[in-house]
Amino acid sequence: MKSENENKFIKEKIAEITERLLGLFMKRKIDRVPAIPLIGAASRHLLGISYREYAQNSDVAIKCHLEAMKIVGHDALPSSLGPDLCVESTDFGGATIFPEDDTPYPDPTKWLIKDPKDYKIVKKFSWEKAKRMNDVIHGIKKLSDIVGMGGAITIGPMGVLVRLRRPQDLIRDWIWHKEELHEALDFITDILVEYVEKQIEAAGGGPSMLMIPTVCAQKDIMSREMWEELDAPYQKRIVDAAKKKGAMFLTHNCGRGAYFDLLIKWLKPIGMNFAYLPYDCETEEEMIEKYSEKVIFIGYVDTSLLALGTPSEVIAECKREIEVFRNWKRGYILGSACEYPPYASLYNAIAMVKAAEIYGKYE
Amino acid sequence: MENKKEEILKKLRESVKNYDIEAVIEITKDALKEGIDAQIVLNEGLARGFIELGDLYEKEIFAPELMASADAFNEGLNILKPQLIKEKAEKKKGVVVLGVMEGDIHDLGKEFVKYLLIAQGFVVHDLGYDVKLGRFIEEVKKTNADILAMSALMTSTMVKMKKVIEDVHKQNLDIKIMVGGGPVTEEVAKLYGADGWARTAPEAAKKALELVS
Repeated sequence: MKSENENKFIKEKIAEITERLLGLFMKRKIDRVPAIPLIGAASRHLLGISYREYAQNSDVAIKCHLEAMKIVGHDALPSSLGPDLCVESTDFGGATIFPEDDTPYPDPTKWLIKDPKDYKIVKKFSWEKAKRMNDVIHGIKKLSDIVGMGGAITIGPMGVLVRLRRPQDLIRDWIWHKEELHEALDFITDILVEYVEKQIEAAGGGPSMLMIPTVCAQKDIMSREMWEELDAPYQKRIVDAAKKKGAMFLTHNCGRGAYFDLLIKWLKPIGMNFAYLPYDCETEEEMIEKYSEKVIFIGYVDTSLLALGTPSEVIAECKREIEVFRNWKRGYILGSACEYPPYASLYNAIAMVKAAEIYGKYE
Repeated sequence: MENKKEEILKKLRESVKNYDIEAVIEITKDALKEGIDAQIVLNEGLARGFIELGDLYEKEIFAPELMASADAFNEGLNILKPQLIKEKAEKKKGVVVLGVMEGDIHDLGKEFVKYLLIAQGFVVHDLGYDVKLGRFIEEVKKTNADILAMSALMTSTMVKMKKVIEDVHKQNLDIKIMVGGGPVTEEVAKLYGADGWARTAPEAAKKALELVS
């Protein structure tokens, strides 16, 4: 009986979220500002699951996400599964440390690519051995049976490499070893295109969404020219493949000074989630003026505030952001600037949803 | 003689800015052969070139170019080191213990800060990345450091700074603490009880100078 009630609640909640989000995407009038605190691994606390298990077992991760949806009531459809940033790199042969209760990360003593000539090693990738990516695909299939839609996520080809080669050596290669780099990026992109297609197919034909963190497209990391040379063409191939399968595309950028104009030019996202003002804007007003007609804005409550602030402080900031961005012309989603801190309590996520319900109503 | 010396130092600065490692090696050796004091080669050639390039960060140059320039700076510094140690003439600005938090492998910003601090005249003890929390204080005590600088690129690793700062305060260590990295805002730095924060590596090097002056 309990299970039946729970399923009924989840179905009703999903119907409500779908109407709100699809309404926003389709430019229809909606009841209120949606709230998406980007809850991922923080959901595992609700079921007492370790990060290690959450990251490596999509069946368990799904239970955590659905539980979080019940407790927090946020507007995110739990349709995609990106348990951490090392899913693809692990399957490409990277050594990953899975702490009991912390985010998995590349083993800094065992970089797979130690020298520029090692880039060819990525070509040893095999779908049969891709345990983590296959687990995500399995999870999406299972989720789509529950929520009726699916989502895909990938870290992108440069994101994979930054977990296979020591970051500062990779950055040196951006200048001195471009040829080897392009060869690896090209191969990894082919695999990621397949990965994204498999995720979308696993969703069973319902509406689907792709999200890619495009963190290289920012002034903290590389110049505009370099992004257009080393990252943009590969990301575009993945995005184009997803769109061909009918998916909508969202981009995420949590760095300072993102190149919004280039992201829009190359990838044409329906929405953008970000943490800081773009490189060409000094104020929020300037950002609204330049970009509010072009993409849906998802953001940008500081994750430090979500991790360390009180619910009252979070509500105050959400109220401020709702007042500033509610008239973002293409549509606005109150969201966190990056993934909800995985170690944090969910009180502040609940506070964010509460703020949207109270202050985000549309007339 | 003065003109020639100035010309060599100018060429050295330009080579660092153009991250031309071979030229840096050659000109640094030439400078020593010409009898220019190693400390002057460092301060007026290598370091000045690197600092001037750092001032263009995020305007005209970006992380890869700064990394390449840091490599060129470091190559030159390695040539000067035996001479600098022999002369023992250098007046150091202070001692810094530097590292990236446990669980975090993003050390690019930390590398820039390291080289810019060296260029400013600090002695730097670099603990690297994925540094176990206890190592920071252990190294501070061992080196009698003036500044402890910690970096993190993820919120999950950023929170570990708080624990280290609390331990520093509990032990009453006479040291300034700096924090930085992607998610670390000025508000977080204040909340954790750090003495200094900077948004970029060049700003961090300047902040370190302020803290020891």
